[in-house]
Amino acid sequence: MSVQHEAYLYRDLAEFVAAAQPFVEQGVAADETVLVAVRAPQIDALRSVLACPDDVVFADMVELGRNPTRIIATWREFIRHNVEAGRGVRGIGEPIWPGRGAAELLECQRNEALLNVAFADGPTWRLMCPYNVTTLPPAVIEEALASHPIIAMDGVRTPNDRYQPGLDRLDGPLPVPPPGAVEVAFTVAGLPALRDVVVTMASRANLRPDRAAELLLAVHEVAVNSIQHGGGEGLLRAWLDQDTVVCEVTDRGWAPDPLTGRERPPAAARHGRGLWLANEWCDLVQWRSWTTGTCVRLHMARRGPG
Amino acid sequence: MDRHIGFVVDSQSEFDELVLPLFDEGLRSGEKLIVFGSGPGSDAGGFSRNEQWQVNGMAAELRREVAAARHEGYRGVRVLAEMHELGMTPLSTQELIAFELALDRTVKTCGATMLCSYRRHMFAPTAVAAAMSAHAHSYGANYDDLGFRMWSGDGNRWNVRGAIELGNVASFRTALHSAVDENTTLRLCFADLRFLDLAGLQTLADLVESFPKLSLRVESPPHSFRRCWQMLGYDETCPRVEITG
Repeated sequence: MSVQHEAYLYRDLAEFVAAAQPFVEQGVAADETVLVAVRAPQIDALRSVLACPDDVVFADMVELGRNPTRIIATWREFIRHNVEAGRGVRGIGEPIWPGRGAAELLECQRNEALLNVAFADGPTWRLMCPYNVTTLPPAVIEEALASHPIIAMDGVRTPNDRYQPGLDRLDGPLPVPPPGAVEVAFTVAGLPALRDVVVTMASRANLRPDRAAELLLAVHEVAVNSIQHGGGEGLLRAWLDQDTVVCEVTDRGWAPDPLTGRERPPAAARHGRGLWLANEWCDLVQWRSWTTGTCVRLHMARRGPG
Repeated sequence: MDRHIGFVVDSQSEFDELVLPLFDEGLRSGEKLIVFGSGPGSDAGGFSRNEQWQVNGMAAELRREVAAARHEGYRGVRVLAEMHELGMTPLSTQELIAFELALDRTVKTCGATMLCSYRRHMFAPTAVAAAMSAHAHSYGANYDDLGFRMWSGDGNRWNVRGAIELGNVASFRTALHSAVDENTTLRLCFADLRFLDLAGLQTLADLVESFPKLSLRVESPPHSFRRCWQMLGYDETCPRVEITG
């Protein structure tokens, strides 16, 4: 495996720093580019102890990983950019923290499992994923053990015999939409009506105009995928979940690649752009594809970034 | 004021209700009224008929009529055309779009007013929809409305209103290819465009690629346009496209 993907279990901020500092400094000493994508308190604590913090790239995971489906694309671009420049890389990524909603948490867990698939080939690099065992529920730690081939705690790093390759355990159907969800079956001729529903829901949720426009295009493009790859038709369900607009598009198509939409398409690409754009713009995207059909659920909250 | 207006009518009463008021308005404006085709009943007066016009010579004939009318002291020309009597019915939807856009440009440049009357029973709904897409405004039941309108503005500018998406992008492509003058800058004003999807974006990129000497200026696009254009790398692959406003 090209990515050395390890879960680091820590109890408090001091233990996080104690693990992260040598990991980062070893990378800097080896002339690797190091990306640390964690939350602001961890960034501040780590920066304060590093001898050369300016040699490290920091990213706020709250923003970078707001939609966890973007994380793999970020790592891919980071690796590609540095490998092209002849440099090795390593990273720290902590996408899971207390307070993540159930849907976000599930997508974070899928992201962790998919990292093993996404970076199965290519240059070798190290990725440390810290997990706070004090604040995260035991079930979350159990899943962390299932998705990381290497486990580390108290400075000891060992192969993980509880590692489970594959996604099946995380690939179940999404929760059933609420009874009041608006339903619209669509074909190509029905795309305007589909967009009318999205506009109405965005208006009811008081989405900012720019975010409403982005949700509209995202849902439309996912529906276009249904028309072009999912049997020519699909079903939109849309509802409000507190202050979040949720739009779900289902169809009869099957996309066997679990990484669909998680990589920036090349500039000249004509396909594979819609779902990637949806991932970039929406607060959360849940994508499932089985032989029986595909389901894409897009979430856009009233309160967005900026 | 719109100078190129489309009508979709069937019965004489529809014609009288929708078309005639705008035609008669020309009299009050001091315009010369010209009818091609049967138009108003033969007992109606105040207009002349032109039997010369055919699809291929329409622009030249329109310019000639405008020049003659001005020479005769009229303030302008208002033309009512029964499109099925112009030999339009065999045209494909692409040909209809191309014809109407060329006519739109001619109407704009020579300052005439053109009322295009399409009889529903003489044209397929898709043909009517294609023709209406090349009018800024239209009246009457256009059952297969394409969802966008394109019409000429000042200079090389074309205005686009409505939504461009997978379902109508082929017609939009036809419209662009009809409007383009390959050696100049094509200006597309999207101020009234509500929505444009990735198929529409790709159509713009393809257009520029098709005409190596063409430059494209996109004015006042929707919010998501500029972001998409950059995020998908078109700003690198299509350097001859400028986005303003």
